[in-house]
Amino acid sequence: MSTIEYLDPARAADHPSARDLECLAFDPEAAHGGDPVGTHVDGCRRCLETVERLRAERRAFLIRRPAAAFVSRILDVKPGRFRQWNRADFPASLLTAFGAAALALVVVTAFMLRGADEGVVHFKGAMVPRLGLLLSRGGSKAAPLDARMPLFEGDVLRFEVELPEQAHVFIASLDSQGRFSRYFPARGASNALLEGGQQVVPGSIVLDDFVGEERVFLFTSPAPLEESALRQTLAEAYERAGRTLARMDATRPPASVAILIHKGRR
Amino acid sequence: MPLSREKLQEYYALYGFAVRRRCERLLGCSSEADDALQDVFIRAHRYGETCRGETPLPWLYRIADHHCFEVLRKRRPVALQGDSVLGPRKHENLASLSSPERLRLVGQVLAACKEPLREVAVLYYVDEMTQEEVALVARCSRKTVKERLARFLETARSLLAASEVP
Repeated sequence: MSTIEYLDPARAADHPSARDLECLAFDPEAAHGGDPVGTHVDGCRRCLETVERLRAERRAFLIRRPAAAFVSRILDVKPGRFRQWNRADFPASLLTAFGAAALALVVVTAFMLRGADEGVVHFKGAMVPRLGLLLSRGGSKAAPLDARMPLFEGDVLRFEVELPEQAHVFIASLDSQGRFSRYFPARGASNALLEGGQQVVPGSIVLDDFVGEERVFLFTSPAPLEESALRQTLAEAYERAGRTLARMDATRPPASVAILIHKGRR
Repeated sequence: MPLSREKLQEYYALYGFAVRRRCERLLGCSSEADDALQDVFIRAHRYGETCRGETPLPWLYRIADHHCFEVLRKRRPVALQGDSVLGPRKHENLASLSSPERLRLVGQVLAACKEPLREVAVLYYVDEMTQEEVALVARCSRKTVKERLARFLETARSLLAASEVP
């Protein structure tokens, strides 16, 4: 007889189905006692342990993946901006409409001519972690930085991350000569466990006198990260990109996001 | 009428874990389960009125099953993978497999099955319902449940044979 014949369900005789136990564990209105499943669970240690284990796993799940953040990801969209129409607006609005149409035609044509590799790709699935930079220059308060702005020796950078859920985090960079720099955590453990949501990571870095480009990577993982492995991964990605930072968009390691920054001389 | 944000958040807090767990069992892939979890709750938000008069978890499970079946339908049919739980242990009694291993095997076979077999197989092997209970939920006769389970096992046999190294 094929061993597939032994693919029997796991349910032992006289015990509720897995579905019934899950409904009892997760439904707040399910009452112990009074209904057959509840009555059985109250008198059965094995099933009671199953229900308690399911509830404990749910608690751990919600700590890692908070409900508010999840719902926000799937519901929140940026509001549009609308303006009340009135009769006096008409001539200006008509001109604006023609102008907008002409501009749209130019933009669409430009995109068509630029080629597929500059198109926007939207990834479905879990929210992508986000990495942002905050700059403090000359003792000023740290403020969000546009990564296209040049940076200089002595500038102080802080990192802001947005995580869909609790994760181990490591921030490092490669410069245009392929040199690896570790940014966060600055020392000690090879990674730090951060909660989901938006936050500025502890610590800051002061930029040295290196002039050129630097690509800063944010690595996230549900499991601990090792610096040596990340160094190796980045080195391989750099080689695959022909030792060109700008090409590392295509070879960027999975589970990472990156920002390209430019360091110059004053 | 879509579900309100508050209700959606409440449902996620109560049932999100269970839905994701189910999706991972059906799809056998953690990242696809994450995708599926979002899709299920997007549909739940959009079609909230279809839950009227029903406890939410079975309703969410139905949405999850249909979504996962759609994902499985788009996959290319494959033989059981080389690292399948059957591997070197295929001559052992599969009833001795742990529950996670058994579920993983079921997930692999589900990917190769046709739709009517999947629903019955999920209710029987994942939800651990009896054949009578499956017949009630799937709205078919017990005889039909038995036939579909037999065909599910036949599919598993074919996949096992295809994965064996001569």
